[in-house]
This record gives sequence, C-alpha cells and structure tokens, in this order.
Amino acid sequence: MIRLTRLSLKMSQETLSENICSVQTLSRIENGRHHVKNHTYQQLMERMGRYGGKSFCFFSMDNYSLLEILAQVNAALSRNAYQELKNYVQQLKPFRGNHVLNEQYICKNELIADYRLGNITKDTFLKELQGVVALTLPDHENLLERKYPFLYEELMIMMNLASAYRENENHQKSMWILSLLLQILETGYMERHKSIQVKITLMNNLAKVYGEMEDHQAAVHLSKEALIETKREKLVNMVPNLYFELAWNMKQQIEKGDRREDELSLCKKYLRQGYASAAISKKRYLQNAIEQYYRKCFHETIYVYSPSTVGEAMKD
Amino acid sequence: MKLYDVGNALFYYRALYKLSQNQLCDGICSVATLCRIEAGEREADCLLYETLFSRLGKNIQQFEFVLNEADYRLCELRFQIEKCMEEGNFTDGKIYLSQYLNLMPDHQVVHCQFVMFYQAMLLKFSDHCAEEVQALLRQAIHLTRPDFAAPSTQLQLFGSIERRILYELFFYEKYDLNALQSLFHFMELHGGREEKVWNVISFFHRLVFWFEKEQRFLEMVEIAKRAIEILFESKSCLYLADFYFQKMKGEERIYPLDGCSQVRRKQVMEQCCHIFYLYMMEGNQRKMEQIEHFCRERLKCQIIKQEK
Repeated sequence: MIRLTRLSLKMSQETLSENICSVQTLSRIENGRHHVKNHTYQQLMERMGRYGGKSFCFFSMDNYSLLEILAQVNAALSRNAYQELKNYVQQLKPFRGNHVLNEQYICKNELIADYRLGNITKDTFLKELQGVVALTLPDHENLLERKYPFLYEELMIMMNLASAYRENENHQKSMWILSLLLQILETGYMERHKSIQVKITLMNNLAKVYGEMEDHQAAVHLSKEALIETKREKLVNMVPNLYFELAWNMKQQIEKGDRREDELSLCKKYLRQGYASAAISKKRYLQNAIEQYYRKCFHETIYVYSPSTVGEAMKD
Repeated sequence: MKLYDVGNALFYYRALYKLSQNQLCDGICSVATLCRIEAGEREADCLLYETLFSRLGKNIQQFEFVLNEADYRLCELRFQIEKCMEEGNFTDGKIYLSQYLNLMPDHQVVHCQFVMFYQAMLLKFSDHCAEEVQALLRQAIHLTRPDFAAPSTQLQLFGSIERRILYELFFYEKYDLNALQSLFHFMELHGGREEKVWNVISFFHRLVFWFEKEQRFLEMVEIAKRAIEILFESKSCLYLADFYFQKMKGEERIYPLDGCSQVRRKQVMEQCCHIFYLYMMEGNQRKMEQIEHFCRERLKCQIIKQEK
C-alpha cells in the first residue's frame, strides 16, 4: 500500500522517508521485510496525503456507537431511502469534529439525499460535489491520470461525481472518470470482495454512459462482462440494472439495423431475468420500469403462462 | 491501529451485546488475557483477534492492522490456504498448510483448530473415509468447545472456524437442532451482513432440504424466510432461488393450493416465474424443469418460454 501510493504520486523514497526513517528502512518496509511501527506508518501515510489512524469509515475510534449509525447510513444509501439517509446524516453531524474526512463523508451523503429528494438542482449537485471532493482530493484529475489507489470512500465520491457529470450531460467527463477508476481497481490493491462490488457498479454506470452516447456495442459488452462477475460472485444488487441496460442497448442496435431482428427474443429473455431479479430483491421502481418498457416494446405482459387465467386452470 | 483501539472495539461490542468476558473468550484464551487485550495492555496475534471478533459477529477486515513479520506471514498463508480450498487446488493447499504447521506458534488453540479443520477438509476432498474426517473435525471443535453439544443455559458464541467445523459435522452426526439454531441466532441478530452470508447461509441451505426430507414443512419455510432476509440485506444471491423455491414448496404443503383463492394462485404463479428466471440466470436447467413440473402439478399452469 505504501509503495503503490508513493509510486502513483511519483514520489521518491528519499522524499517520502525524510525525517521519518532511513531510505533503507523504507525500502525494507515496502518489500515486507521490516516491521513498521504504527507511528512511522501513520507519518508515511499522512505525508502522502492519506489519513493514518483511521478505521472503518474514517471516523476516529472514540465513539463506537457511531459505527451503528454509519451502518444505517450505508443501508439507507443502498436502499435508495433518501429521507432516512438525510435523518441519519443529521445524527452524525454533532460528531464531525475537526477531521476533514468526517466533513467530507457527511457533506457527500447530505448532498446525495438533497439531490435525490429534489431539494437541489443537478447543476448545484455537481458544483457542491466538486467542492466536497476537493476537501481531500484537491487535484483529483491529476490523481486519476496517475492511477492513484483511492480508498473506498474516495472511490465512492468519484463515482458520484461521474454520475453528476452524466446527469448534467457531460458524458465525456463521466466516461473519463469511470474508465480511469476501473483501470485503477484493476491494479488489485483493494481487498477483493469490496473491489468486485465497486467494479460491478462502475461497469454498470459506464455502460449507462456509453448507452446515452449511443455507443451501444460498448454498453452491451460492459453489461455482459459485469453480469459474468455478478454470477461468479453471487451478487444480486446490480443484476436487474445490468439486464435492463443490456436489453435496452440491444434493442437500440436492432432498431438501427446493427443486430438481427431475431435477437429480439434475447432482449425479452434479458428483460424477464431483470424483472425477476428486481422482484426478488424488492426493487419495485425498477421492476415497474422494466415491465412498462417491456409492454411498450412488445405489447404483451412480461410473463406468459398458460392457461392465462387461473379460472381456466381450475377447470383443468 | 493503536493497540488501545482493538481492545476498545472488543469491549464496546461485548458490552453492547451484554456478554461476559468468559462467554467471549471461553476456550480461546483466559479471561485475564482478554482483560489485558481490552485494556490495551497486551497484544495478540491476528488470528486471535479475528476469532474474538468473529464470535461477536464482526469482521476484522474492516480494521487496519500493522502486523509483525511472523504474523503477516501466517496471515498470508491463511489467505492462500482458503483460496486454494475454494478453487479446489488441494495440492497447493496441502503445501501451504504444511508451511503453516511449521510456522505457527506453539500451544495456541486457534492456530491448531485452523490447521485441523483444513486437514479434515483435505481428507474429505480426497475421498478419505467419513469416519476419519469426522474424527478430525470432532478433535478440532473440542479444542475450543468441548461441551458445544450439551444443553446450556448460557449463550455460547462461535467464531467462523468453529461454525464451519460444526457445519461439516452436522450431517455426520445427529445434533439437537435447537442447540444448533441458537448457534446462528446470535449471528442473525448481531452479525455483519457479509458475516451472515459466509457463516449462516450455507448451513441454512442444507437445513431447508433436510427439513423437506423430514417433512417438517413449518421449519422449512421458517428457515427459508430467515435466509431470504439475510440475503436481501447483504445483496447476495447465494442459493437465493433455492430458498424461494423451498419456501414456496413448504407453504404449498402447509396450505395446499387446491381450493384456494384466485388471488393466491396468481401470486404463486408470479413467484414461480420469478424463480424460473432466476434459475435461468444461473443456467440451472434441472431446477428450471423442477419448477415447471411444480407449476404443472400444483397450479395446472405452464410457463411459456419465448426465448430460444
């Protein structure tokens, strides 16, 4: 982690270790041949702009009851329960202290809640979010280009930023951020299970951007790759979104003559799978959206079974 | 991470869940040792922390540790052993396990238990006789929980390796189901989302089919519902279609569809279609046929597939 971060910042061992430890010691630490003391580790990470001594979600370990509220924040976010999210963020505010990471975490989540509840415009959301990112990543574009190993929360904020650009119709910027974040994750620095979940969300978001830019082939390819990952990892969270994205883009290609007409049946299959997984994961809004899209495209109900009425079935 | 913070975290959760020190550390270390760990006066190795946190339903990967060389090496080896077992690479798994045996500290039960569990798994996957595997698993669990099967008024806590040992032992030996279910009750109440999936779901998956075989449909539906809830919270789909299917079959046996309302029949048909397409996503042809058969037999309906 130390070595990766130092290299991404193009920092020499001499610069990093100055007044902290010898260059030889740093070299041994980076190669895993030296037991680094806590204090030394923190100093090295802080020199590189990392905040040492943190754990879990960037809050200091002074108050463990905060961990329960943080868990509620994350749960509300994943369920798109934005009013709940706003309420939990209010509970966190008294504990923010002077730590800039705490400030960033609170501001980011409050912004997301306000935007999704319709309290601020997409333009305001983007501008404010840029400010929130700058709290700890003032030069984030440079860091992206250097393949900086962002921490999990930093990745989340960058993803939110990419979504904000997309919703403000700056698709190029959105695509640029998401593509680089994917490349950064590929370096394998993040714990595997967490990395896969982030990667799948990134791929879904990037597929959406490609679709809106009418690069449907790229969107289809990404959606399929992401679905392979979800299958391997047994994750259901993004599955309905991915199937919807896949089917929608394939349909666009069929309408433009870039795919054969007989692939419409494949679209139907993907939409049904998306509908089933949305139903099972209780994503009602997505379930309804897929059903409505299916009816609009194919003029039939999404599930077909015979007999079509249970009255007929009972006669059998 | 400061020494103090680890102990602080342990103390916080132990107090939150109203557990005694003895309940937490029983079989792993002495109460005096746990006391010193909680006060930040004593450092322990990573596996001991992991076992203590795991008994509290927590995952230490959420914390930042700075390990000494020996501990780091053991941590790496554990990761490699688990990876090899997951991938079915038993040859390399055996090599790593042998290295672990040479490096692990003497007389530390958590390490011994880890090694014995994976030795048992290697025997199991190389088709050694069941008695040999059972004997090793029993030896492993007795290291930390010699009385686990005995009725007890006090809540017993189990770490991740202990639960995995019991999961393997469960179908070799007959245990009191109530005792085993209380084992998981704590995890369901207090465990992290991922911990619940890793530690509870596989066990519940075996249970729902076992209850079906025993024709205990109420319990079958109950376990399926609990599993679905856990999977929903953790956004995992591990065995999800199976749990829905088992729940539906169980409910149908308890409240047969013959003579039921049209609304209910329609709901069940909709559920069948959801499950059918979930199995299609998994590519599970056999299960797709089973659900089609269920629809034809019980609902007198047929799912019309329009896909190629």
